[in-house]
Amino acid sequence: MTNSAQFPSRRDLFRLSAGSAAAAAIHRLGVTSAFAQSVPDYKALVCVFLAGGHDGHNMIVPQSQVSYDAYMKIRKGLVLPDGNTKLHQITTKGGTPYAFNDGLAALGPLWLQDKLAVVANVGMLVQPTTRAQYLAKSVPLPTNLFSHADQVIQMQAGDPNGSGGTGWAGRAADALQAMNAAATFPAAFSMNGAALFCTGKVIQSASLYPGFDLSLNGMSGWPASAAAAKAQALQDIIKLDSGVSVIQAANKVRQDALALNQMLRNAGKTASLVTKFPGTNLGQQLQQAAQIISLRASTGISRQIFFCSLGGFDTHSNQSWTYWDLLKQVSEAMFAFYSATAEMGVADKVTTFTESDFGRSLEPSGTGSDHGWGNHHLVMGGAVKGGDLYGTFPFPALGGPDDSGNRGVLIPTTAIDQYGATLAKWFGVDAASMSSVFPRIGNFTTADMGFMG
Amino acid sequence: MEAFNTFARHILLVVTTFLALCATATAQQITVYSAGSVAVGQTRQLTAYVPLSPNTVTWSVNGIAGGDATVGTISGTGKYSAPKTVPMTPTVSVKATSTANADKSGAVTLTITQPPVQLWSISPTSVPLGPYTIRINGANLIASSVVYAGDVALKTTYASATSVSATGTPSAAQAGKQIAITVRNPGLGGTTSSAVQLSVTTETKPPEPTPTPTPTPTPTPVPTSNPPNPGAGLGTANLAAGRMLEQAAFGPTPAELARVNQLGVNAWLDEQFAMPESAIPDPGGMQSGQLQQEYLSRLSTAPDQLRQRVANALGQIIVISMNKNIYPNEMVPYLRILSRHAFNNYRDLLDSITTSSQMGKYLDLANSNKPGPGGGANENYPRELMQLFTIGLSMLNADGTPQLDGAVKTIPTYDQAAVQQVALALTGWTFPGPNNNNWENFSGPMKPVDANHDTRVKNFLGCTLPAGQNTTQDKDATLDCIFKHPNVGPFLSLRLIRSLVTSNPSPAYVQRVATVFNDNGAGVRGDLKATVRAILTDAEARNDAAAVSSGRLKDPIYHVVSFARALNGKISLANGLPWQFSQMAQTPLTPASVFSFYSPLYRIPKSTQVGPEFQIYTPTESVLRGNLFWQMISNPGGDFTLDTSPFTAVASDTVKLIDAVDQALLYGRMSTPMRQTLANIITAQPDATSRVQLALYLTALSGQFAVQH
Repeated sequence: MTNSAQFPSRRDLFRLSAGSAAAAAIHRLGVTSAFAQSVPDYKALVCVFLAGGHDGHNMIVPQSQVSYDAYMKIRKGLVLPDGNTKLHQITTKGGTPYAFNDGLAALGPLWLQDKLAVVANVGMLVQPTTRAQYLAKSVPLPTNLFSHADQVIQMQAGDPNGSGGTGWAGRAADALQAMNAAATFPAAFSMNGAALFCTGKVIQSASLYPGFDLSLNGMSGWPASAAAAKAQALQDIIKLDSGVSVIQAANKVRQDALALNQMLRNAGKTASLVTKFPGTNLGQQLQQAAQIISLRASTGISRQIFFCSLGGFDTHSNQSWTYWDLLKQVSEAMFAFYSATAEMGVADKVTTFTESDFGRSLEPSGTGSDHGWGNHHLVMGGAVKGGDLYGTFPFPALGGPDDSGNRGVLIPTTAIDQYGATLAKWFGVDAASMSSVFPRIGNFTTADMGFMG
Repeated sequence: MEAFNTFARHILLVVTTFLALCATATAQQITVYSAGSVAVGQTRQLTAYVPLSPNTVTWSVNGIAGGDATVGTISGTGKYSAPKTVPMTPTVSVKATSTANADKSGAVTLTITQPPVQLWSISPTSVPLGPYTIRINGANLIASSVVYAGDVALKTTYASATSVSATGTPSAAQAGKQIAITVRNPGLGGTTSSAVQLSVTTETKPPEPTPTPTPTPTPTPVPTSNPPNPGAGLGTANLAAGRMLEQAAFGPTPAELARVNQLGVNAWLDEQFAMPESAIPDPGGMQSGQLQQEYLSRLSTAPDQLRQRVANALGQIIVISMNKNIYPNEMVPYLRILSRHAFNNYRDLLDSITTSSQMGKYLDLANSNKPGPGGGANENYPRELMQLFTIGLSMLNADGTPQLDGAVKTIPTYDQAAVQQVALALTGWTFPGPNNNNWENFSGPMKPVDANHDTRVKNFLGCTLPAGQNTTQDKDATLDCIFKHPNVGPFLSLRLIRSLVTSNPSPAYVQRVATVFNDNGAGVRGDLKATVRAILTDAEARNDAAAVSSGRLKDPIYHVVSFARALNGKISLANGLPWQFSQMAQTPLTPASVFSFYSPLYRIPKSTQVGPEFQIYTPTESVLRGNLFWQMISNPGGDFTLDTSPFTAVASDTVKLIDAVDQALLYGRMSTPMRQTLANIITAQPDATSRVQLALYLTALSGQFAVQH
């Protein structure tokens, strides 16, 4: 990271021509040869961000008698099962019993097929931190723990100060830029508006809202030839050589939009997926991601990242039904997405994982729970060593060794750095480049949690 | 087959020096940009990306060093000149070989074409079943050009280099469908135009009268609505004032344009510097969304445009976001600080910001107490104070370029220990109220509480703050120390230039401005009025002839506000635009983080040029902006008040309409080909409204309007 402001040599000008190839494809409907290249090695990372801080304590519940007894004693009114929410039993490879919130039932089959893993007690850390160190403030800590605005940034940035203005996945895509050199297509897509997560020093966070197509308004006409003439006039205007590189670059973005629109439309026509997605917002976001993945061969892209998000997890009250319902949306959308990747033959090339602002307090607060820190997360995909739990699942105890205070606000035992580095390694980031993605990864004992094959 | 290669494309050489900024372990291979087509006699500048040192290359064409007259030549800097005639093998391979390592090379394939044939329009655009004749308008048409309907070659009659006609007969199966009409120039290196659709209606042509063997009936003459030749336009008399107002305001209004023309740049600046500050309404009773709406409206209407522009630029350097400071009283005093200090001294601005309760909340300086043994104070504000507000991460030369050490690495300005020391020096501030640590309260600046201040000695940036100083003394000494750092002048000058004028200023320009920041001529450091004047009156800013590296992509808010102002309009006080801007990654007053909406260091993808605003300009955002322009033009509703009467008044005269749009949006810089394109499409529109809308819309969508230059 540097603050370098200028290049020593500034004869710098790069007039882009890739957009003209894209534009040509538009003129010849269905001709995609301009993009066709073999993509021997495609991989995608898909983040499902559970905004608001989801309650991992009630996403996966310990079922060994002593743990469950402790859980029941502390969670009181939030104890599962309850009138809304049943429990869905699972067992780890080591034989330890747990139960998913029944809202995750749709993902149950993937656990049994070893395509779904849980990583326990993940969160933002500067370095490994014990309860004693936390209470004595004798080690550096992330700034503004428990603050939504700060933790959303930190978890996406992979930085305990939220510094740098880039996201960890964006930096991972930066590190693998060479693999995308031939692509004329964005490497990072957010389905939820520009996302820090997808922003690299080089990589842009391209937004694509579900249901939003990239057709420009005001360009229709009757008969169709009148519309075609307008489109042609726009093409001609944005292809004019102004002699000013910033103008050329701005025109290229608009040209890319025209090409992308055509590609998405073609994908919608020709490569429509059999898999049905739920009509929920998250379902539509993931469907959009699947549709883009279906274009991988024609776009020449080799490494892609996606950011989807579902809000509403800040369950300070009425948590029981609310949380079950949100998890149901998550699991149904994620299952459909997995099915779509299987349909496309890329189930083992696409890894989907959850992130959240933070976890929640084990001790309830009325009918809800308060802001916490460490949290449990899901990782899904054909390359996941699933059907198992990774990291260290904390024993439920107020004021216990994992508690940062006395309300069951977990001190993470796995850093977001380790969680992300495991994913980034699978994605293709080598050990030498990992410090550019997670600068503090060296603070932790392992950079590979082992949940990726 | 490269129909898109409409005009000569040049790609200037970039032998990229990939700075540590982005450097990751990259495979050592040379990449040459970029493949494509070059018409005979045309040139194309190639680019080699060389991750080697030195990064110089030698160029060859088909293995011939420097090329030759048959395959084309290539200069030492990568400028390829196509041969005069298409070679027998119309593709050539241009190779760049590293001078550092002859084993490393990269190549690109270029296709040599004849001058590319173009199809602009056809007439008529729909025909009934039965024989038809269409006229083609285009360019680079030749005697052997053949018009195609789909894959069927039509009998083609050459008229001129810009016009041919063709006759054909659609099949019955094509009734009610469209046929893609293209023109091909055959032969070696021939090209095909892009397609225009011809509609075949389901009606049948009335039966011909009794056929008579002779004479052959001549084809029915086609109604010709040939577009006029719009010529070069009215000239650039408004260019100087227009550019000034792009830099010093949110774009020109017709009245402001006249004002600059009347007063001249310096007197207009004087007038602006002296103009009373537009009031920012009291936050009491205001909703958060109203503050955002008011802000957008104010940018579009405030008479003190220069102050608004500079305060807005400062607000992208010293950031508070409504995603954390969600209520108006957590924002308004901060906005007033930026406005009040826009033409004052930067040191005073830093003082007001440091003690502002709004910033105290946003970056957590409020209630940062002296730590216990072994602990540290809150580092959030101290870090960003140095990294983002004043000196940046690496040592700068006086011209804003980074200083490099013996290993050609940048030199850090400070380390973590310095952050911790500054954090200690800035302990002891709390929100207004009776206690030593008060809850959030935004009724005034923060107050110093010496009981919570760390009084130990502090050392950072070469300064020593002696032990025993109180909260205010340490704050003053800290800001004095940071403010005196030699980076501040070039750091801030570069950021302000990037916000106001151009993304890629020359180092000399930065240095000239930094010199004024360092000393305004009266021995005062940090005079923002003098700095702003230096930025705006510099020869590089006032040069109306755009250089290849000129310009700044408009950010979403600026882009839309400037369009409204160009149409002599404004954004209404009550508007629904904050949501629309949120979709374009620029929710008003709500940047995602303290790093603002986009990084001032962001580079245009696959380029070495800086283009901060490109970080939030992806295909989706370009469409969203376009759609908002269309809303403004077609249905401004309650969001905007706009005046399109100057355009509707001349709607029936294509050339005058183009002139009016050219003057309002591009100050007479619209190129002749663009004017011709507009003339063609405007002529084809059925009514005055469509003509005006399309002329404005297509111009608003152009890169020329998207970039202030």
